[in-house]
Amino acid sequence: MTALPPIALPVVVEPRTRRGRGRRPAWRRGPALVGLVVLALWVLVALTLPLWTPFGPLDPVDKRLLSPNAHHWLGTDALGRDVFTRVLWGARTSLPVAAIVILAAVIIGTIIGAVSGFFGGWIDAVLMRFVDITMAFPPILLAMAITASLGPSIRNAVIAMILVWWPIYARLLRAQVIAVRQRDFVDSAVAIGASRWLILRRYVLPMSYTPVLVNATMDFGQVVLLVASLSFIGLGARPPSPEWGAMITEGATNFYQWWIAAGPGLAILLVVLAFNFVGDGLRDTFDVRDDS
Amino acid sequence: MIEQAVAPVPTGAPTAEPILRLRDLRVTFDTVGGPARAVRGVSLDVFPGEAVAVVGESGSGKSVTMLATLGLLRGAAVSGSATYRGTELIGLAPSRLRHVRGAKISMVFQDPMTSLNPVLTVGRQLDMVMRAHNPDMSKKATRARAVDLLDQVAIAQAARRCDAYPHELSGGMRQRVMIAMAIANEPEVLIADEPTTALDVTVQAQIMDLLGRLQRERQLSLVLITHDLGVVAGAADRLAVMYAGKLVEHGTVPSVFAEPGHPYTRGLLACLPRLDRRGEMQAAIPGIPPSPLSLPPGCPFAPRCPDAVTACTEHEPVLVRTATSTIACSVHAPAAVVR
Repeated sequence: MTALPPIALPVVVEPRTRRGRGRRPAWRRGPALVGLVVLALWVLVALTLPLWTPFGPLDPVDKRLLSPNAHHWLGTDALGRDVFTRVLWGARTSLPVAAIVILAAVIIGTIIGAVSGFFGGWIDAVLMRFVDITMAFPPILLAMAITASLGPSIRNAVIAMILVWWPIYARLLRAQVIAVRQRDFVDSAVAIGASRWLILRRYVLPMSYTPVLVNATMDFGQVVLLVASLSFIGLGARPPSPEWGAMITEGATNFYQWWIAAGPGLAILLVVLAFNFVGDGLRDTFDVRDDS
Repeated sequence: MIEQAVAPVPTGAPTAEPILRLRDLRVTFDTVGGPARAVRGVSLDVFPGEAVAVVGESGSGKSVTMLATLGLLRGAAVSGSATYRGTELIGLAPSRLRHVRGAKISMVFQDPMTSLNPVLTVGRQLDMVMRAHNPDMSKKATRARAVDLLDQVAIAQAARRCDAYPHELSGGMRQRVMIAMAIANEPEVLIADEPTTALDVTVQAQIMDLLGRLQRERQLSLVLITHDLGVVAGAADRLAVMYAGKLVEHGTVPSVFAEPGHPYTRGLLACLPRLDRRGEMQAAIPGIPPSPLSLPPGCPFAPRCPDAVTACTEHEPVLVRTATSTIACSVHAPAAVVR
């Protein structure tokens, strides 16, 4: 009689419930939470910066082209300005610009997309051809062309970016509106005598907004990048204003002083990544396909 | 025994002017397979205070007929006439049609699970329905009336349910809410499009009781679209049977149930389970309804009809009045004069 070998029972691991009770929504955990904290810090810095920074963004405060040290964390640039201070000041341009561009593009895109999807017919055809034309160009190219023709300035860059950006939301919302418009509760609202305007506003739009919201969050980062790109090629913010793209241009002329370009580059990286994380989290939160 | 029916005057209906009058209503959908003739000339009167059941299989055109009446079909060619108290509804401007929908003629749909706006509370939706037709009503007034309406459709704790979202309510309760919305503006006609199909049996009975009670109390004209003859027996005064986009029989519920004239109606009635004939095999009508894309020549029911003769496949029968009802059948009610 030999002892029976112990039977290896399969270990039953309780599956982690994706949406267990008390589980935080996706946008408040993981990378999204990191992104949220990073963004909160940037906003805080942008708002309070003038109160505590020891240096002005435009003032030559020390010797030129100093490498990073305890006094100047990111060194100084070709005119002896503190790079770290200027990087922080950059947020005061990039964040409001991105906010204005996204907000305006969302508003215009919502109106055009909703009208297009809800009413259909020739209105839809005309508006969507316009969207097609705009979207046929790479955004950066069209934004460059518009800014260049309006004259290089941050204000014109904002106008150009709004013009380039709204078709994305119009297209997105139109698709949603068309889908929601065919749902039963919209038909029953029509049957009960609700006006088209009321149906669009209270029945269709609230159900169509999720992808626009998610995309807008992600696009925040893209707009930050785009405004930096425009400034980098001299079409947005002009020197000496502390804008990340413009600062990288200055850094590029001082090739061996890496910190001058690396500072603003790092700032762009942080902000864009943070917005993408938050956008991903939002998408996971809203995605109906996710709740298995 | 057989007379020529000029217009479908109901036998035994109130002798008032019809409140809703359909004449030769036709609906054609343009599909990739060609024109689908979903409704092919339906004439029907609905009188004040009566309950009419429109019965037929899926695709017989019963829902489409009523949807076309209210202008709720997108992308369909509608011809013929549908008048509400003398006002022509077919081709009426959308802005004017809107004041008919919900205020004069209301509709309750099949599936209460998807027919309510998921992002608004029940009270808010009732408020919007009322204010769509009475923009001057105050929030306070609509709220009070919303609670009252929920009470009338027998929703317990109406004041509390008023602040509930649709997902917090059961299917039966949601259908009650739909009915409350439909009667909120005191319409004269209530069209119920298979109002109990999506509900389980006990709830079906409750909803039918509710509709019957509201119809009697408010002297509503009820148009009940259904494929369930069991529902018709208890709820309707008159019955109109549709097949392949046409009326094939109509008459009062007692007389049609006692003596169905059209073979199709007989077949439908034979399909009803009966308590007094237990143990027998459930009857069924063989075959399937014809596609609206390719209707057979002559009577569309002929291929499935046990009584069909050669003449049936040659010309389509017209509605003819018999002693008990009005039917379209060349065998059981041959037309005296070919019109």
